[in-house]
Amino acid sequence: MLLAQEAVDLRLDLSTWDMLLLGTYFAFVIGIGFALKRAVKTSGDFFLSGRSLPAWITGLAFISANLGAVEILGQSASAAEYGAAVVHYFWIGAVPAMVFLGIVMMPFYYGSRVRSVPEFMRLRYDRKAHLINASTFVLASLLIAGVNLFALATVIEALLGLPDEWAIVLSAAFVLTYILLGGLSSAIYNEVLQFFVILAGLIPLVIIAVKEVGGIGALFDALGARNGEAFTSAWEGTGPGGANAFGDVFGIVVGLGFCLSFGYWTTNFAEVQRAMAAKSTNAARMTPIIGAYPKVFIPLITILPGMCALVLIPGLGESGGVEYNNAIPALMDAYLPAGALGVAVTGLVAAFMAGMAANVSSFNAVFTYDLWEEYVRPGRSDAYYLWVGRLATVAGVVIGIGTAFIAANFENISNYFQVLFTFFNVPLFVTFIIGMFWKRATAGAGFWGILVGTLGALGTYVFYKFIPVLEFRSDLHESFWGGIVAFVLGAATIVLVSMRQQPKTDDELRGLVRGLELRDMQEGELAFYRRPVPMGVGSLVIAAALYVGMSLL
Amino acid sequence: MSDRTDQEPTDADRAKVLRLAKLFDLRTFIGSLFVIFGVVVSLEGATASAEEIAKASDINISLWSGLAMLAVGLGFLAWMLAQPPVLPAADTSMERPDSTR
Repeated sequence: MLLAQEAVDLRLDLSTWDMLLLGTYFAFVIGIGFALKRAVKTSGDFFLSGRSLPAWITGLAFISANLGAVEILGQSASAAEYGAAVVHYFWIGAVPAMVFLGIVMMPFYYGSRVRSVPEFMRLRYDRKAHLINASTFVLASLLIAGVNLFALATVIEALLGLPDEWAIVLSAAFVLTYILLGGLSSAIYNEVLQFFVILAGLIPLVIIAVKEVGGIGALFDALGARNGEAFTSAWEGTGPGGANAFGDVFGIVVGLGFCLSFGYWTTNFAEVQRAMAAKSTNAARMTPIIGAYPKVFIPLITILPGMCALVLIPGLGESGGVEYNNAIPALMDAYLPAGALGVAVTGLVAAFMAGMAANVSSFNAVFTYDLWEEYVRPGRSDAYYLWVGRLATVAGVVIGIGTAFIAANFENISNYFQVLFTFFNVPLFVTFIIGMFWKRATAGAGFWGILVGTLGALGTYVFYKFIPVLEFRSDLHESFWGGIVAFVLGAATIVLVSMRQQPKTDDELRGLVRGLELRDMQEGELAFYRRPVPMGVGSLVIAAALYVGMSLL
Repeated sequence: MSDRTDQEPTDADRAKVLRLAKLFDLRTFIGSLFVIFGVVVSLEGATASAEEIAKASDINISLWSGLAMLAVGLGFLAWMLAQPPVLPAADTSMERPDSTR
């Protein structure tokens, strides 16, 4: 009710100049598509940017692909609901996995010259494992694209008063156009542009919100007094019998920090594809590590405003009040004047497009290379697959619009994501990591590892949600433990199955397993800021320092 | 990317390709968008009413964020001009032995 009234006021506040900003942004988005159109000659250009981009571009795209409207609204909603502990998603739930991906796994992904993550699965294991990976990825991409559309619709409806059907179709049409024109390069260029617009839109909002609450120290004092000390602390109440909504220390460190986060960041082709577009092995390895640096500070523009909103927006999250998911839009409405408001609205729309485009541009590659070329129509010309990829892009966007309605039925979008990741990603991660480091893992073991791991995660969920045998503090807490179950069962299955089967020969495994690498690493000659190991360690140190800094507040 | 011919590219061709490469460099896009945003938003800030400034916790946020965006935009353009894009040596760069099977 409240938001609907505010939205009416806001619509009047959005000046003609602010609309012009939004229009300018859309013109640039399409302009990038046309500019890059000339560079798309082969399917490799369309799906992998011709493996030609510098590391700073792929690195920022890597982080921007994960900075969609869903993440921004979802993380600020989680912060308002669960408190400061949401930083775990970033400092332990992302940075270590990104560093691991760059240092340890990227030499195999990039060095083996596979064109997608599922393709690695096919070469390392067999077609059964490949099919399960490719098809679950395609389904998840379409679902997530729908979730992004839904998030956009809520923002546009609240802020601009534009009917959500129109907002969905219009924005989806823009994403479709620029990907059709410029392929992955277009998606990546736009992601980098979006990254800066998102920052320009949200930083002023955070500055005002923090000033209004009297500084971060005062905010933490006020929320601590109101919601309990654990609410403003990352680790308080994570011991046995504690009340931290994120659950226990073991669940956070092993479940989120290892299983879920490694599962997400190291196997998600929407992310890894950005690194595969890099121009060299070293640039590919640097991609997630360059992304780790902004990732460390993203909580300042998502979690911090979410917590400020709890103080500044009366009735946030209460029945009849503003929903948690609208914490940032409500702050924008209350505090941003003309000009800054236009940039912030553009930033949120940009964030939606980043999320949607990342899913569409990875979906079309996996659909074309891994499903169509592998199983339906193999051995055609490259021009044919380029054409299939363009058609798949259109189909992906259309289906994404349809799945937006599925997303509308879930209250907290973040939780919904976590559930999905537990089911798909952790079993895939355990299969990849064992495949990369244990030569003995057999062709057939991958499929069984994924199957049993997924069933483990699903079983944990069912026995918590529907047949209440297991007890957890929250859905998040359940998802961490579901990840651990999936990891352990998946690993055990791969080992057991491998013991009973004939291993692959060295020739079949060249480039795919440790000890049989194809890469040539000349890291020693580069300046330290171009080397993955020192830069990766640097981002871990910053993340650790921020945990310490926050505990002192 | 000029058409593939057997003739050596002339200096005029090279200059034209370099001009296009600069125009279509990502830093040009980011830089010019931020310059436009910076100018528009700081003008909105400069003409903001007292009421609007009071709304934003007594900070003229549009003016300041507009000027900051202008600076970032000029920075990107300067970076592009200081380190222009490097053109591929030959126009075989898009061909890769492993891009098709």
